[in-house]
Amino acid sequence: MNRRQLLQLMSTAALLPVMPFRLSQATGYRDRRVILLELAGANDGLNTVVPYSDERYYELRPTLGLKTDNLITLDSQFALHHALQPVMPLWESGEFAIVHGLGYPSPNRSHFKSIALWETGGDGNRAARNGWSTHDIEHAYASSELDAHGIVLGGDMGVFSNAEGNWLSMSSVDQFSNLKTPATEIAASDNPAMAMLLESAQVLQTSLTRISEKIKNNRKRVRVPGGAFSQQMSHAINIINSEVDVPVIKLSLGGFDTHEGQLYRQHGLLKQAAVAIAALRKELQKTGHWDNTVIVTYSEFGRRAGENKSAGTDHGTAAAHIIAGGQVRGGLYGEAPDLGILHDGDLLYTMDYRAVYSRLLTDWLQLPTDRFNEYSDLRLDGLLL
Amino acid sequence: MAFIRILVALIAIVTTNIATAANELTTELSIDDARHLLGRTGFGASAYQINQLLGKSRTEAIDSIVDGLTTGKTSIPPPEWINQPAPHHWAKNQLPKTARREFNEARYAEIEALRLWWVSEMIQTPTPQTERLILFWHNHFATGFSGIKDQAISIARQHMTFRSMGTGNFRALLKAIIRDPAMLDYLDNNNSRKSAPNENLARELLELFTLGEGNYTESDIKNAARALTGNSIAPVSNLQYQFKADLHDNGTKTIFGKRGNFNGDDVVDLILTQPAAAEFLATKFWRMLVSDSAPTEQQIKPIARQFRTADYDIRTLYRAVLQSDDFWAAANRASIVRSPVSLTVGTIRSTGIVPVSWQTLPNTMAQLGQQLFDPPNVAGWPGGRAWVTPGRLLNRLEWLNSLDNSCTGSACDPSTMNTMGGSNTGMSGDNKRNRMVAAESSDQLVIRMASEEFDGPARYKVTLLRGDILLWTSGEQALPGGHDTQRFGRIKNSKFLPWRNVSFQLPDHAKKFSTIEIEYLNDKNRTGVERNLFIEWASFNEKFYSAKQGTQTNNCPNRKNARHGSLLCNSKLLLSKASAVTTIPATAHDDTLSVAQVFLREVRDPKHGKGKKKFSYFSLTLSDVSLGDRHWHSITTLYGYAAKNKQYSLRLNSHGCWPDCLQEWPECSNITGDESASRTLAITLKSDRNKKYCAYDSLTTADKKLINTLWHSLPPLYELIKENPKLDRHKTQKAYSAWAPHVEKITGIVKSMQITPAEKPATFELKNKPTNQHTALYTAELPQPAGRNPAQLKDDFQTLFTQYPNSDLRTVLLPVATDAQTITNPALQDVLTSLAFQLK
Repeated sequence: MNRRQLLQLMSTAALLPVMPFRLSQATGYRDRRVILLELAGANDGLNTVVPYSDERYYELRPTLGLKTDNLITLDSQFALHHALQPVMPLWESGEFAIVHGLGYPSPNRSHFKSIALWETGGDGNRAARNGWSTHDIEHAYASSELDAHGIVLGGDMGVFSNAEGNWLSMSSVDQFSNLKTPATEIAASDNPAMAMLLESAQVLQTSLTRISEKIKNNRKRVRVPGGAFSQQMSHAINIINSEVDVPVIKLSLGGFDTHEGQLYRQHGLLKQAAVAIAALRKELQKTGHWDNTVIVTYSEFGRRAGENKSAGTDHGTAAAHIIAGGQVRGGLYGEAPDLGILHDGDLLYTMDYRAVYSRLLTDWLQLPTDRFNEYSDLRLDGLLL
Repeated sequence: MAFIRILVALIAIVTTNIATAANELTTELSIDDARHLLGRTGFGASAYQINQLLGKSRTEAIDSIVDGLTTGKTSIPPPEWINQPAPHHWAKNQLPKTARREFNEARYAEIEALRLWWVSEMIQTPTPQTERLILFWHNHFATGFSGIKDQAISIARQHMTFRSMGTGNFRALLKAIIRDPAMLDYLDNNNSRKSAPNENLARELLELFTLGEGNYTESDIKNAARALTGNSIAPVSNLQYQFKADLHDNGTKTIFGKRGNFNGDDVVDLILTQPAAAEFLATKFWRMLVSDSAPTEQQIKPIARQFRTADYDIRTLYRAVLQSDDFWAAANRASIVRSPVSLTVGTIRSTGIVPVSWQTLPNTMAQLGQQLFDPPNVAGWPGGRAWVTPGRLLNRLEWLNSLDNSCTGSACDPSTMNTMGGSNTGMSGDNKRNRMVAAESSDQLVIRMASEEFDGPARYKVTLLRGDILLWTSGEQALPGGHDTQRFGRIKNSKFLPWRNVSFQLPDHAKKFSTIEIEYLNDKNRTGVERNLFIEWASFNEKFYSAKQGTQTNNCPNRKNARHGSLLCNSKLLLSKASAVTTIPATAHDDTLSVAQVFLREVRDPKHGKGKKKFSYFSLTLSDVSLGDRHWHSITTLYGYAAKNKQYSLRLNSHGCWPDCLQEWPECSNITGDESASRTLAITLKSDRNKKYCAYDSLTTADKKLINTLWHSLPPLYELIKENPKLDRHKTQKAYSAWAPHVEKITGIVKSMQITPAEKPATFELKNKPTNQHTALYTAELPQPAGRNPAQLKDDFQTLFTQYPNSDLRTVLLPVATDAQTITNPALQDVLTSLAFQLK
């Protein structure tokens, strides 16, 4: 099977719905997963979760400020950008949470540097080296216990950087059929480097065989209508519904660097994200996987509090992010940054973003170790059931 | 007493070690030893280099490797732009959108050229140990192009620092690194100040560059960060290093228990008093040369001691590691996972096969996880297991398999080892290395192309026209080595396409063309397969044709709006709008101040504020300035107004100009503790020049002329920045307008000045030229593996196999005997895809 065939398998809708079944019951793996959704380019948090009752918001955003007819009211203070309408069923059923004011000390405004910090769990004073989830996941699960430690379906591998386990990107998930097995060397070796290579080759082979088998056996393919990002989401849904054991899947939606023409551009992007999240829920509910799945957004930084002269916003600091899933307790968490206290025109973060990571690793994935324990924040108690 | 006894015991151990080592080192090199030594110190082992080492003792072989560590000339000259002044990065955000995009694209072209040049040099150089060591330093002092706002020039300069200092003294190298603009920017030290020291550089200096975790305290980092404040960059002045005295913390710091008013150099010296320093770097050398697993104390201490005793001489360390028993030990053979660079370059050097798509090797390395000049973070590439995670192992084997496509039939037979692809890249057959095709060769048309393949390579035809008259056609051509969409899917970001420069020799009659037509010949029926052709630019005779400026006929039924240069289905691209490739230095008349562009730095409103001390100003930077035979890359000038005495002044600072603003700075100019010294001169505008006035009178005549010209040019300069976007961004339009009456007043004063003819101001002239300095067109010629031509490569193998009848490809290519050893004369492909080939 080549890439094309695999993609066809993954995206063609089958005629007959088939009850989900599990091919293998991994013993250690708890069958819970996180979908990381990168909003690449830096999403404007202030126009995503809008403090519509705060007059200062409209002072800072004379042209970009969203009026109530373009908002979906959540409570007396906050409202969502109206492009997020498709996720409102999640909000209403209490599966959609927002964490206000996520950021980190000594913010960096470079796209490259700041996304690297978010993906590795560093801050402006201290860079980190490894993908934020990789170490704890590898520590918890050997390659043999999972089909893959993580799969990237969009964007680069930065969130899994410097990992040593079985972290795949979509292009390599598809390539197995071309692998020539060095059969003569499958015998064990007393050279440790050689033994490691053999192990890696074996994991690769097992992993690709298992993933392709599972995907082939899943007769009910899903295809979320829309563009390239919907395709990523379709792949994610099909991987999950095929019972592929993988704790982390990463997606990426780009274009959020809205220095100009923000109203139009952000609307389109948020809508794509919302449509895809709604589809994820719909499809996973059918197979019972929605309760095992959490989707969380991240972005290199938020944008400046005040708008610029090109009907856009420049690089900023803190932003709100979304956490949704069947076992997520919906609602608003933390405190929104005070629009009256800006630092150099920027919002002050009210919660370290690593507090969310800590909860994902412990409360959700229930891993034995948590690199971000020191950032754990009581305000997130009960977020993940 | 006990102490002495231990010491004696220690000496005894050391002596025994040396004794056995000496014995071992005099033994004659085996073919396995030669491959091992070459593979670890360079990239793979070529038959030629093995032949040269055979017959030598281990000591002699080590000597020849260490002697080959060179700081001299490379075998391929680096791209020309790296010797130019830095592009005006600081002005980027004042450029209009299109110009800004072009500026960014020029920087990408530069870094790609740098990558391709370095990779070509790695393939061709007779002294790969030099390139391997530079790669080591690049990884040790990891700095990324993407992390420093695409300043390719700073990356290139850092690379040249590694080249010139990487085999010298570690102390000197460290002191160069804490002054290296790329590093200072990457680790945010350029804005580190006394009031808010940034700890990034200090932390990595201790943790990653010199001592390693556990050998310093958090307090050492905080204090080292304070000592490093002030080590910064002068953006306008050629992106050079500048020590900014006013940012530096002059207080007392405590580092490793020592107290003093330390600066950055002191921090380096203090670090090198720590025993951990020599051991830390020795361990990193060990991991490069001996084994992926860490050495024991017993193994590393003697090496570290030699390194420290030699006052951190890098060659001493290098030699000590190669002379250790452990380097030669059987247990340490095949113990290092090859990096993507080692795997790809090593394959080419040791087999002699240059793949058709050699120009895309930097992309291949990036796909395998090693994007040169863009390591994942300051810790560099993790290496070891991380190179061969299942996903990456797959990609590595894929690449090795793809070499199959490079050599068909007998071409990959070891007896007919050959370089492949010469004709496919359209390169002319002569052996002149690495010409700067676009700039220097007047008879070659160069087109930068990439393709996506599906069921075979993309096919195209280039036609040159003058009006409607056909002058020349390339005929149908194939572009092999494209990205295989059938197996790997499409590439989303065109940056990552396998770009290469394809050149065509033009006959004389074709050179007068007005239009270049590039026709993509596949997909006539739009079958929906993912095979596409991409064009970025064409260049001929110092002219540059951007695909974006071209016109494109599109035959795609569903994709009417394909990007210019993306030929998705049987389309044509016509290029007829050219721009000059190089910025020719403006030659101005004596009486013209010629300026390419004018940028606003800052403006302060003369109306606002209180107090007698109030000083308002507006300052500008002029780029690519000429006045008579004087040229500046940039001049920053500040026009000031002191409310107290209602006087105007013009201020220059040596860090605002490149090269220096004035021929001679007068005695009365201010000098700060900066390094290089920052001189400032304020020249008050006076119509009456009877009184002695040092700030003006002591200037040279030419400098007087410059000052008067800058005063005289104020009205047009003021007018020019009216539309500057920065006024909006900084909300300083009001302040700008408030300057209008002052400009008028100044003009009046300047007119009434009595000036000698030689000092008379020149007329201002704006060239309005783009500032992106697109000089990065670079085409490397097909490199010769290990500097050997195809005939020599063939001979090299035959010589080796004749001399060692029991040897075959495995002996040259694999670090250990494998089960495959039982097969006689295995195929090259089987050797390359054997797992042992992943190791060295």
